[in-house]
Amino acid sequence: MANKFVFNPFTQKLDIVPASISTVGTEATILALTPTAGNIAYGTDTQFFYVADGTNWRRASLKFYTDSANPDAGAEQNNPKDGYWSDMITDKVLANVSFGNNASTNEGGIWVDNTVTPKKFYIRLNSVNNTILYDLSMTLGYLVGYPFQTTQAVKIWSGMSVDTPQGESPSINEYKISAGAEPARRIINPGGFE
Amino acid sequence: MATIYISQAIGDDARTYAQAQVITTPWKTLSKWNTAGSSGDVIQLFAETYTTTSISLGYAITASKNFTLLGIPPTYVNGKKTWTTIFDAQNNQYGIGPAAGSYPNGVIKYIHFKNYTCANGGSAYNFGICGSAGAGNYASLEVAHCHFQDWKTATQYAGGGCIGGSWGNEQEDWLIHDNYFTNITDNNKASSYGNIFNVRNMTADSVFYIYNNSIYLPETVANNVLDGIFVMIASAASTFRWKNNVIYSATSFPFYRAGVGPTGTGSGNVHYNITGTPAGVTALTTDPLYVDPSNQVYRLRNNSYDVVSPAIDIGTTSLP
Repeated sequence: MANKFVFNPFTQKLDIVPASISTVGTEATILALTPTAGNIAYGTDTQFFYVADGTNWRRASLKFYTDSANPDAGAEQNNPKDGYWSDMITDKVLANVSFGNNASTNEGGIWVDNTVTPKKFYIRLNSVNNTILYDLSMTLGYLVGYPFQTTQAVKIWSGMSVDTPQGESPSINEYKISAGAEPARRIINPGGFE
Repeated sequence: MATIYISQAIGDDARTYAQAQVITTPWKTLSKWNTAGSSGDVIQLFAETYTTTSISLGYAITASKNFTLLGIPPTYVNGKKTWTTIFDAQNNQYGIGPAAGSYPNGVIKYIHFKNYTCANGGSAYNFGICGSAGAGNYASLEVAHCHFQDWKTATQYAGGGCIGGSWGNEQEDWLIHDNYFTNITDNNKASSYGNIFNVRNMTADSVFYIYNNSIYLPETVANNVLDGIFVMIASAASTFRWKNNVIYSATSFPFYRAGVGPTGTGSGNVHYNITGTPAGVTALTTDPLYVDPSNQVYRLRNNSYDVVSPAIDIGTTSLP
């Protein structure tokens, strides 16, 4: 008598109990069977495993692939057929994913620090945590930031603030702020002759 | 015959043979083992980067003593197989090879050899894992689970190559498996011949078993591309088996340099951009699809959907 897996709704885990039944067939065939608790089945058309919990058939999310007695060519063996190794994955598209923290110090690690304001997006390169973005955004077609920790957006390329408080010069001019109510007029150096 | 420890960091060649058998009191150089070790010793290296100045890589093992040279087995770090025992030759033109008249049985495992440059074609007889000038080679040689990276090879038959034999004598038996050979180039294509495996002669009773190696050659500059994977003068009665090997080359070049090479046997290979597979050997010719070769990840891509490496499950079980 073989073992079978029984879904335990209290622990949300599989328990192993003695069993003698397993079904191999199409998914349609399996789902038409009575989901007697502990029964297991394999879908020949889907390559999924199914476990019955007494009410429903529950399906594992990862497929099972055929294996071969032949090794892989090259020095690397047991390459997975769905791109999943224990320490890396390949050839996947991530969608609807958000970054959390990252306790690893591996090169190339990326993460978001939600504990600071404004929040920061990091990448670890050359053993240094580099801030990718923390307060950058697009305003009126310009990449802007907030270098003075104010609410005043400054264009990254020019150092000019986006605002024009008096309808004249912006209040922040080439990353400098003048004293007084009137922003300093920008003087263009015309150069000279030598 | 004993296990001998060698460490660049804490080693001292003034210690005795008995002291070197204790991990806390190792010797410092391979040259010390060469003069004071015993045939059949297992030489255990530490997880260190050994350089030419500290360990005397060139001509290091010259005595006719059998040896097993072991590094620390590699592990995967961030998906990349990573060695911690590293021989950084820093462009030294030599390698490790027995000297004239020596015929040891050698086993070399778990070592990352990198930054070797053959100075020129005619005089660097003992470049690579090979025999020396004039005469002298391994009676048998096994190289396994090593990484040969950033080598600039040269010469024709005269011992150049990652693994090669000298001009004056024959190679006997090779067992080369589960290694990486990456970014191997020709240092001077205009005047010499760069190859990965470079053999002067096979003898009638020689056996060359080469299997499950991954080779990545991204070179595109014509003057730096190898002349061949192999160059060898064959003996009709010798045995050459080439199995389960993967080659990726960015530039097309021949398997045998100028057609010099024996008939072999073997299957389960993938040769991308390699012309002239040896008679008796079969190989697929499609891109093996390494995961991230520029970052030294030579696993095989496969998502069972739109990216499927042709190298998975095609190897032969008939090894070596």
